[in-house]
Amino acid sequence: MDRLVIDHVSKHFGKTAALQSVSLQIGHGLFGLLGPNGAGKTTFMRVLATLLAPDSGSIRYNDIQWGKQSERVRDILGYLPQNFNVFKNISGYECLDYIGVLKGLRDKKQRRAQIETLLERVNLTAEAHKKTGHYSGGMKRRLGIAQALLGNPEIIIVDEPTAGLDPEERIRFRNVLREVATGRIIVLSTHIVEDIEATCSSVAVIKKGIATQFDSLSKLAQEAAGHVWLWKVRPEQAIDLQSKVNVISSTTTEDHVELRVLAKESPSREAIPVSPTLEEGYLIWNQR
Amino acid sequence: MESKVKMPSLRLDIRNMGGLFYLPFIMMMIAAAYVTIHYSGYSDNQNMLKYIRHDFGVLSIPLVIVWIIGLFQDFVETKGKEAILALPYSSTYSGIMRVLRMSLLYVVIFFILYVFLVIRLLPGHQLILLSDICLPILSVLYFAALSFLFMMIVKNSIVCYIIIGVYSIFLYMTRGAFTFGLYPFQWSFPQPNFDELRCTVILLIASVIGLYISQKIFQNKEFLLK
Repeated sequence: MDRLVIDHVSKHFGKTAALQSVSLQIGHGLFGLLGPNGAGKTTFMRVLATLLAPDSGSIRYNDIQWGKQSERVRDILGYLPQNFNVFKNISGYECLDYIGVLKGLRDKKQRRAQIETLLERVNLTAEAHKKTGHYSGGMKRRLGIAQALLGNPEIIIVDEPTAGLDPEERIRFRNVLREVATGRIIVLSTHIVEDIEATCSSVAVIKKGIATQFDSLSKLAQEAAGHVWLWKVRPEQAIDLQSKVNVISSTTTEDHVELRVLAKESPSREAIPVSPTLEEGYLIWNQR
Repeated sequence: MESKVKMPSLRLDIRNMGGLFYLPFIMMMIAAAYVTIHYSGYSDNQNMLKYIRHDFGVLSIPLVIVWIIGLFQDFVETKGKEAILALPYSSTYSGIMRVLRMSLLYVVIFFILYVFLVIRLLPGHQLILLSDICLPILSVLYFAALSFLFMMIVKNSIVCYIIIGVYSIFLYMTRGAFTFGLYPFQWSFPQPNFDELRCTVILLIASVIGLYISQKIFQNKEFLLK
């Protein structure tokens, strides 16, 4: 199977190590890169998008080598950065037409047919002839994913795609990503665990430029196995406990509050161990 | 992926510039209208050409920078430039060739208006290759190269306008002093001590060097990303 192989990639900015020997193997489908702000996600995405050259290490996909064959890499790549705010004076349709030309889609008829299909796919047909400068944040992201999909690339890189979107737009965007993931690699970077949970089948976590890959989401969740406790307390007790134990979430019912607590040992005799969520696994990994 | 298209369409380049595209065009039209009205029936034929070139050319020639800067805003200035820089476009055809295409269009519009003014106000004047054609073309090209270069270096259109604007005002006010012939107003506001041919050659060399350096920077995506 076609795999994107990242082998000991490092990148420094002056004395700061943005990426430290990152090694990942990414197969078809949606792959999530999860990490806090400043962890090195955007640097990694830029390296994948051939915008930054790594100091050391290699990246390859089938017989294509990053660095040595940047032009070929760009031919098989679609990239949606955090901000897609370009070509503000032309319509969404014209923007895709312009990008289609830059991507080398020569046949005008085929290019236009592809643009129309993509606009429909990302639900922008009705707004296709509006200037992109008048688009909302969500519409710009959807236009961004449409441009990334132009030319049917084998690898798509999406950096923090749902940041700043309202819940409805976020769900719509995730649905689009899931739909287009078949038969290609999509690398999605985010600090929002929910995005990964809703879309990805495998994940890597990155912190201070060091990445760890997990074959499945449940494996990352299992990082917190034995560390998550469900504790039912009275409402007044819950307020007091917030500052004493590591409360991940709380659910209020009529007469009590259910706290999910992250702790190596049981915080109380009433607390019972529960199976961890992805977010809890990520938090435990992140605290190490 | 199909075989590469060499250059984005001129129509989309123009549309993407928005109102900026019309600014030099309107200024040229205003200058031409002013010259036509002001010098109609003027009897000083000896100085007429000088007046036409000055009043029409002083603003019209440097305003090509508006088009060139507008061409590259999305490649180097906007927040979403990463998306464009990651595309598999041809650097030559998206860089220097777009500058040359836009400059050519500018020169064509410029000459239509200039020839109209000469025919209207100086009917018997024969256009001279060096002083009527080569010098203004190279002056336009020089400003185009300069704006391409500054846009690549500073990556900010406002800063580019300020730098080139201040530089142009300085050149005009000093009438090319301290420039050793690198004087793009020689056609519109000539320095009597400069030789036209020498000035033309210097402008040509400077334009070629400027375009070459700008193109090299345009190919360096890591630099453009910063």
